[in-house]
Amino acid sequence: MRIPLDWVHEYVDSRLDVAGTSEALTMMGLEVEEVEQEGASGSPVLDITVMSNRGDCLSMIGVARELAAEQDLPLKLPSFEMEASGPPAASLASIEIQDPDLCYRYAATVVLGVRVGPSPDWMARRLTAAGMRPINNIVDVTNYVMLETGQPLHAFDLRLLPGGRIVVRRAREGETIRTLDGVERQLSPEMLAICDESRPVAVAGVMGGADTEVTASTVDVLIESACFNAASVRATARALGLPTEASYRFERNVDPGGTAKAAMRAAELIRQLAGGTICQGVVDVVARAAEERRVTVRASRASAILGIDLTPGTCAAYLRRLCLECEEEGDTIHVTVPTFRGDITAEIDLIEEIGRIHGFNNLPTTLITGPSLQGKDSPRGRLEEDVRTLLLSMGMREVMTHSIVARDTPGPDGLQPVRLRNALSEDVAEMRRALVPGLVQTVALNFGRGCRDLAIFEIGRVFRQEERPVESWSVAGCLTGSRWDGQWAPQDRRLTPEAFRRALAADFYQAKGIVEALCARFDIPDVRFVPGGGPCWRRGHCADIYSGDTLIGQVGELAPEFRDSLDLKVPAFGFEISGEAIAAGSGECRKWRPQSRYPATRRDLAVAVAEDISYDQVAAVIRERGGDLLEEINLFDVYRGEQVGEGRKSIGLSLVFRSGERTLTDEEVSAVVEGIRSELLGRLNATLRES
Amino acid sequence: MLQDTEVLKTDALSEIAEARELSALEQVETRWLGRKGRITALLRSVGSLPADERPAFGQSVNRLKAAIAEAVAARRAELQAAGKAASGPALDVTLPGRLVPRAGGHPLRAAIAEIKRIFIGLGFEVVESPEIEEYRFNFAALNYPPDHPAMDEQMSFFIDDEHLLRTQTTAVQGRVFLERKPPMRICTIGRCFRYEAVDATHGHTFHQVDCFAIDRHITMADLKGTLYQFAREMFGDVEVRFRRDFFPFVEPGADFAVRWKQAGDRWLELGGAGMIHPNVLRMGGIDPEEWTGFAFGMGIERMPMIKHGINDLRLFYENDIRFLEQF
Repeated sequence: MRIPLDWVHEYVDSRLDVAGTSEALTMMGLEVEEVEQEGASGSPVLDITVMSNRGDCLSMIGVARELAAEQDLPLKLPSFEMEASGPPAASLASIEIQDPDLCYRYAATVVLGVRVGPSPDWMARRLTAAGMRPINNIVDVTNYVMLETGQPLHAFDLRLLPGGRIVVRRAREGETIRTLDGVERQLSPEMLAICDESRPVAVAGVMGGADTEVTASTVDVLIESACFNAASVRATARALGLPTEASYRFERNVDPGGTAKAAMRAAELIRQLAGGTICQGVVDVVARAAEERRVTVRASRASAILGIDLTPGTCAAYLRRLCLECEEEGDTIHVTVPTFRGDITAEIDLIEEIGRIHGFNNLPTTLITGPSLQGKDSPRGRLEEDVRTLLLSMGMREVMTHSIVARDTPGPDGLQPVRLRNALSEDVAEMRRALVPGLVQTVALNFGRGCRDLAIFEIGRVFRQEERPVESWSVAGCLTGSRWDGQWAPQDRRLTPEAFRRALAADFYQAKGIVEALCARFDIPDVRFVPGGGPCWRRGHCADIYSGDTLIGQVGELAPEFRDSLDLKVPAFGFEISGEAIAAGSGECRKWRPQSRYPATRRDLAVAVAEDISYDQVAAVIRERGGDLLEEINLFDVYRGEQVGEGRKSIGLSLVFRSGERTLTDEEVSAVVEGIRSELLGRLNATLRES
Repeated sequence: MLQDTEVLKTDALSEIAEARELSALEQVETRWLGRKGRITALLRSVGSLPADERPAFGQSVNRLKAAIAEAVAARRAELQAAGKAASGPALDVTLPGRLVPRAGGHPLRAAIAEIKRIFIGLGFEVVESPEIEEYRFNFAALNYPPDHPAMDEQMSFFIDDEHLLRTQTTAVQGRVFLERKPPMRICTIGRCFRYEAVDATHGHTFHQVDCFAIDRHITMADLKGTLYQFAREMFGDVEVRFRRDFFPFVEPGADFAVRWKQAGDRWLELGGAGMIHPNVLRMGGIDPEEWTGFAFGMGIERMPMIKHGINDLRLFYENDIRFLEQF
C-alpha cells in the first residue's frame, strides 16, 4: 500500500523523518518496501506491505495509529459529523439484508443535488500519490475515505435505484452484472450481490455495477458503507478473477464498528466538494452487532513468553499506546479491544502487542536452559552422508536436480507417476519416479556446453502413485566420456592421452563397479545382476539388481533414443539403487575376521567357454571346487578371437589361494587347480589353460 | 693366520672399490659379511686353532669385519650420491598435478551440512518429513484459518483431495506431535514447493530448514539467542534483527534478518520465527500453560547465495559443472 506521508501526518504529529518513519513502521510489522522521495502530492510516499492479519492498517489512520503507538503520541482523528439539512435518508432509501451470514451491516447516507465534476487539486494529488486514479468528485470521495479509514465505499446514482431500495442477497443462478470496468460477469449463488428490486447492481465487496454508477448527469447519490463476510468476498473476487482495493480490504476484515462513520464522513466531504444537501440520518441495518471484545492478559505470562520481567503497569501502558483500554487487577489486565482490532482475540495476541511495543530487538538474547537434549542427525541423514562420502571418494560429483519433472518423463516399468493437479507447465507436471532421467538431462546439458567427461550422482527422494502417493529415496549415478578427463600423460609410460582416455572410458562395467562398491560398503546381502531393461535403458545392456528376491535397482547403458531426445550424442551409463535397500543392509555391526599370516599363491588361468556361458557360471564352479583355500578370483581379461575359436571366449582369471593355518605347497595348489579343470570341463565344457 | 687377515682385507677392500653399482656392492657385502659369507666362515674356524691363539685370531677377524663394514658403508654413500647426480634433469615441478578422478560436492548440500552441524550442536535432533504432505499438517495444524489470505503466500501444487507438495517444512510439527512429548528440539531440512514461475530469485522448488523447541521455560529471548548463535556460526561477524511479522503458527511472530559487511551491508531476511502459537500446541495435545516453545524456518538457497555472491537461484538446480567445481 502506498502511504503519502503528508496524509498520515494529518492524524499524528510524528517526530520522525522519512528514514526514521520507515524504520519504525518496518520494525512494528508494516514493512516499508520502497520510499519515493516525492510523490504526486509533493510529499514522500512509503510503499508498505501489510501483514494479512492486520486489515486495520490498510488505511492512513491505521498507519498513523501504529506510528503514534510507536512514539507514544496521541492520534488525531478527523471529524465524522455531517451537516445534514435534507429530508430523512430513510424516506428516500431502504435496505434489506437477506443473508446476515454474509453481510453483517449495511449503512447508507444520501446526498441530494450534487454537482459532479473534477475533484480539487489537493484531493486528486493525494489519490494519485496513493496510487489511485481520480475520476470525479463523488467517486474520489469514496476512494479518499476508503484510503483514510480502511472502509471501502460505493456511490450509487440514487435515481437509478428504483424506489431507493437495496436488497443484499445471494445472486441467483444465471444472474449477470456489467461491472464498472465494463465487463459482463456471470454471478452464482455462492456470491453475495447488492440488488435493487429485481437485479444485481453491485458485487458485494468487490465492484459496483456500471448501470447504476455515478456519471456527469448524476444528481442524487447513495453512499454504501457495509461490512461483509471476509471469506465470502475472497471467494467471490477469486471466482470472478477480480481482485480490487475493496475486496483486498474486506478479505482482511474491515472495522465493523466504523461502517456508519465512514458513510457520514463521505457524505460530508461530498457536500463540501460537490455541493448538495445531506439527508438526515444514516440508513443503518445491523444484522450482527460489532462487539468490543474483552480479553485478559497476565503480566507474568507475558514475562514468561517474552523472557523479560514486566510489571502489570508496564504491560498496560504499552497496550494503551495502541488505543486499547486497560483495567489492572493484580497480575491480570482486562483489556477492552476496539472493533477495528479483529485480530486480537486471545491473551497471546496481547502479549505480542506488548512485545511489539517493547521492541523485539530490546529483548535479551539467551540460550535454552533446562534438561539438555542430545542433538543428532536422522538415521537416514547419517546413511545419506555415508553414501555421499563413498561416492565422492570414487571421484563422482554430487548434483541436485528437480523433483518435479516434465510430463511423461521415462521411469521404471510398472511405477505410476504422482501427477500434479495444477501443473505449472508441461515441463513441471509430475513427480520424479527415478533419479536417472534427471542425471541424464544434467549430463546432456553439460555435454551441450562442452563438458564431455562426467561422473555425477544424486541422493534424493522419488515418488510413485499407488492407492496414495508413496515417497521413498534412492541413489543414482551417471557416467559419460572418460575418467581420464583430458589430463596430460607422462611420456615415460609410452601411452598417449588418447590411450589413457580409452582405458578409462565410461562403460557398463564402470557403472557396475560403483554399484558393487555401494553394495559391499552397505552390506547388501546376496546381490545378483540379472539381465534386465526398461524404457530408460538400452536393450541387452542393462541389469536388474537383486538382493535375494528383491529388486533393488538397475544399472546399464542409457537407451540411445532417450539420450538422443536430450541431444546427448555420446553413450552414457547409469545406475540407481533404492535407499531402502541401502538402509536394510547396513544395520549390523561387522565382526572382525583374523587376517592369515601365511603367504598366498597365485595362479593365472585362461578358461575357454562357449559364448552363452556367463562369468557367474564359471566363477560358481571355481568357487565350489576351490573350497576354503581359494581366497579370491580376479578377472583380468575376456578375449575373443581366432585362437579361442568361433562362438567361444576366453576368460582370464587370477586365482589367489591361501590358508589360515600354513604355507601352501605348490603340489596342494596344483591339485585344487586340477580339480577345478576337470569340473569346468565336465560341467561347462570349458577348457582351462594355466599361464 | 694373522697374516691372512691382512690379505683378506686387501681383497675385500679392492672388491668394494670395484663395485660400480649398488646391486654389485650388495653382492660383495653378502659374500663377505653375509650369513654364509667368508667372515662368518673364519669365525667358525676358530675352534680348530690351539687355545692360546684363539683370542688374538678372534680379535683380528673382528677388526677385519669392522673394516669391511665401514668400507661398504662409505662406498654405498659414494654410489648413492653418484646415482642422484646421474638421474637426469630435475622434474619441472610446475607442471600440473594429475588427479584421477575429480570429485566434488554441491554448494547447496554443503550449506545443508553446515546448517545441520550447527543445530545438532545446539541440541536439535534432525527428523525426516515427507515432501508430499497432507493438507492438515501443512495448514490446519499450523493454525491457518480456512481460506485465509495468509495462504496467498503459500501457493500450492495439489496432488489430490488430501495431499499437496508441502509449501513449508513447518508441516513437520503436527507429525512430530503425534509421536513425541516435550521437552523436544526438532530440526527438519528439505524441499518445499510453491506454485510460482521461475526467475533468478524465485523457483517452484526451494529448500528450507525448520526448527522448533518446546520446554517448560522457553522464551522469545531463547529464540533470539538460538538464531543469533546460528547466524554467527554461519556467517561470522553479523548483526541480527528481529522485526514483527505474521505467520499463523507463531505469536509473537517475527522475521529474522542479518546484516553482513561482506554482503552489501544491508538487511537480508533469512526467515520467519516466533513463539509457537498456543493453538498449535493445543492441537498437538500439548498444554500451552505448562509448555512454551519457539519455532523458526529459513530458506536455505539464500545462504550460499549471500555467502558466495551467487545471483541466480536457478544455478543450483542446473548443475553446470563449471558452476559446481567452484565450490
